[in-house]
Amino acid sequence: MYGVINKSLREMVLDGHGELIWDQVMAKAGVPSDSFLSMRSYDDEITFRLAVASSDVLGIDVDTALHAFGEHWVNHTLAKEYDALARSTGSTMLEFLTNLNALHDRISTTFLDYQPPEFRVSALEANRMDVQYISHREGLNSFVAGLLVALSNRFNEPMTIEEIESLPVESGTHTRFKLLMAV
Amino acid sequence: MGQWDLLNQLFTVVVEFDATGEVTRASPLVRERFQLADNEAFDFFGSFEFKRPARFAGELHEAIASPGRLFLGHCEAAKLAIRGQIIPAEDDSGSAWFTGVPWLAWVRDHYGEELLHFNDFPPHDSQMDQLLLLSSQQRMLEDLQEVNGDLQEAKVALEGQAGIRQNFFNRVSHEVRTPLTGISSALALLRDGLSDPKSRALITMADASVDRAIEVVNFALGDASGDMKDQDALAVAVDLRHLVAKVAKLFEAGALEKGLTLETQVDDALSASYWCPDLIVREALINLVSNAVKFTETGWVSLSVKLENPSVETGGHQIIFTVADSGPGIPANLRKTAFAPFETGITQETRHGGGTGLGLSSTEAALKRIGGSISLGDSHTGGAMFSIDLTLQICADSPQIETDEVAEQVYVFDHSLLLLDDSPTNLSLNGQLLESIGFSVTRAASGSEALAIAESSVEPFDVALLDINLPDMTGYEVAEKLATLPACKHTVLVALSAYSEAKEKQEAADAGMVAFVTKPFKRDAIAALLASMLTMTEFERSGSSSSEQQADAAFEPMDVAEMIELMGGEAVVTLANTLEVEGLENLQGLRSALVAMEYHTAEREAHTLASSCLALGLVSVGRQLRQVESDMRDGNRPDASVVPGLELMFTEGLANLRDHLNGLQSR
Repeated sequence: MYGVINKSLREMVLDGHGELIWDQVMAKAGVPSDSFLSMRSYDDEITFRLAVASSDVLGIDVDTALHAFGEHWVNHTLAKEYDALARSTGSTMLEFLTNLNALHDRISTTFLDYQPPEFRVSALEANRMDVQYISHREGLNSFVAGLLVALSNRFNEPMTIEEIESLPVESGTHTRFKLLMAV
Repeated sequence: MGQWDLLNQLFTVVVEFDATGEVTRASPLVRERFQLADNEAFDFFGSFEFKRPARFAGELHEAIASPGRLFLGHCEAAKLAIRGQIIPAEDDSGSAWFTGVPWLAWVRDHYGEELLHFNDFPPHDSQMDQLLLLSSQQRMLEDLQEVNGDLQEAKVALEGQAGIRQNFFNRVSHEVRTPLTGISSALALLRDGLSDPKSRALITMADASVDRAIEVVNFALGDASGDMKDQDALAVAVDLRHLVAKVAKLFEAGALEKGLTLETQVDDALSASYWCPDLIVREALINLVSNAVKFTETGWVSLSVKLENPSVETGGHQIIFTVADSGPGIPANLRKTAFAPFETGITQETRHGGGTGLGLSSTEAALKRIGGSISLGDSHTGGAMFSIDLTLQICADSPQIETDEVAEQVYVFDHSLLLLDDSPTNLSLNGQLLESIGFSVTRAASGSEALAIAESSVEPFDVALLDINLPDMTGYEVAEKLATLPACKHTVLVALSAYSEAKEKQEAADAGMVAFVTKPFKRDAIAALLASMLTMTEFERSGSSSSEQQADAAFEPMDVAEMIELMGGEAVVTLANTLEVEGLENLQGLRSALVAMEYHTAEREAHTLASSCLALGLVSVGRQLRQVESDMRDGNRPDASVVPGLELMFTEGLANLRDHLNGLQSR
């Protein structure tokens, strides 16, 4: 994953719990340096080890940690560092999620190591949305759930995730998130 | 799909014109930004200010006449900038299309990014990709600046720690050197009072232990500070033949005791003298020969010096010193670490001696400081062979005194000395030590006391040995104030400190101090230093006149009496016998050198004999020899006719000395 993900994870722990806890996370993860460069590709293993170590040190389960990280990504990293891009991607949750693939397509043309997920979005009814998450990575459903919750807050479109359904795949992840919109 | 739909798929800014130039259709983005109602007339070219093509008047026919040109236009009212081109219809109807996309760079700079949306750009348009790349590079730059900031912080923190470590080492060094000074001085005085050889041997061993402790302290301080020991690296004129002979002489007894042959070889091609960092080279050779003698049980030890390359780039000579032996050699597994600190090289097979293991390490470091190197090899019998590689400049003229000759002299001073040290122990012991070599010592325990003594003193002080680190003021301040007092007008000001940083040496020099003595000091070493300082000063004061210094007596009995008191009568008789033999050789050497006009050799012969004569109370001939030496140094070269007179003075003085000794012994 790109360094920006690891930087965001570090920022979340530092903001919420301070340097001592982050030092413990680093030590537990066995990651020697946290000087990540945003646009450099790092081994996924580093991100996973940091996430697992964070959950260990904070005494929460990994899914809770990943969910919190998904929310942090949208609320802080996306909002602060990629705000203009995020705003041009969409002004509603549906528009945003629909344009996400196109955004990832464009990023892939420049960053050759970039391996983004794919989102298939469909508005089933006025208050229901179906979001399919497809990735070669595994174990990040809670992160995506956190992203969706934070996006609904960003666009002021309250919703709940009714169901998370894992679809059968040979490798990676294909998950359907069924969203019930409040309006 | 019709042509209009196809164009809208490919471009987000599409405007259709009829042959009259009227807009017939516009794409959704254009209608939205200009808030156009259906079929509302729209002056497309008139709505935009075109930056390109230059001087474009906004007429369709003009645009059609510029096929393939890039149109860049912006409209402040619509907050839209566009880039695109005119495509004429193929049917020659005169109609045309403008096809393009938002001009991202202009919009970002002038209207803000929020007015653009992702869907305002078709997938094939690369402007968004470029924007992503540029923003990524900007982010990368920020990251690198952040990392650089982290590194700077780490650097500052590290430098802070290094400073703390430096201060710590300085402090520890000072604290350790101060008691070592006391121990060293006490041992020297204690040895003087002992006649039992066993006790003297024990004292010698204890003194050697102090030397090793000092070596460790110096190494730790030098290693911590990386301080260049400027004084040590000072190049003086050195006759390498003489240096090799002197070093070998130091180990003659040890080699003889073990039944070893100690050989020296000197290359005839060597120049008479070189500018050489004498102290460092001498220490290195002593260290290597000492090890060779220590680790060799039978056979031989050799010390050689040869001219390897007579014309190196710097214009000097490449000199190789080699110390080899027939001992067991250095095992292969220890060679890599032979120059590492605390590596003694002692194995089961070579378990002898001991030491701190700092010798080779500090030797290598010291040689490196003066641009030299040391390497390890095998002698032809499989023993160890160390080679020192140095480039030295030839010394055409040698105004400097070779300190090695001075170091082995026995000095008896008749001078007054002001000793300032806030340590009562050091004040007492060093006072006694200096008194034991003839100084009349006045002690002061503080800067203000020293100044008060000097102010009230009627008699001038020949030397002021001033501790630097004092409670009430610094030794530098004392030196500067002393220099203004009548009693110290011609006083040789010498700094005395347990610190030995280059900065302190510079401050001492700035305060008018002519030498810097690092605690602890050895009696011989300080005696040699003060002898050279006092000699120099006397010459400066007296100029070329010798009449004022000329003594009536051929020798001064009081000096000898003091010496007998210090050394014992037998030792003085032995010294007198030695002086007779060596003195006549020196005089012969002086005569030959003057005949051959080899003034450097002549100067050295005069200097050696002068020191010996003065030490044994033959003041008259000693001073005369000094004058001859001084004249030669000033370029006033005498001929051999001065030698008979000197011989006469020498033999008379020596005869008087013998009579005096006999008289004393018969009492």
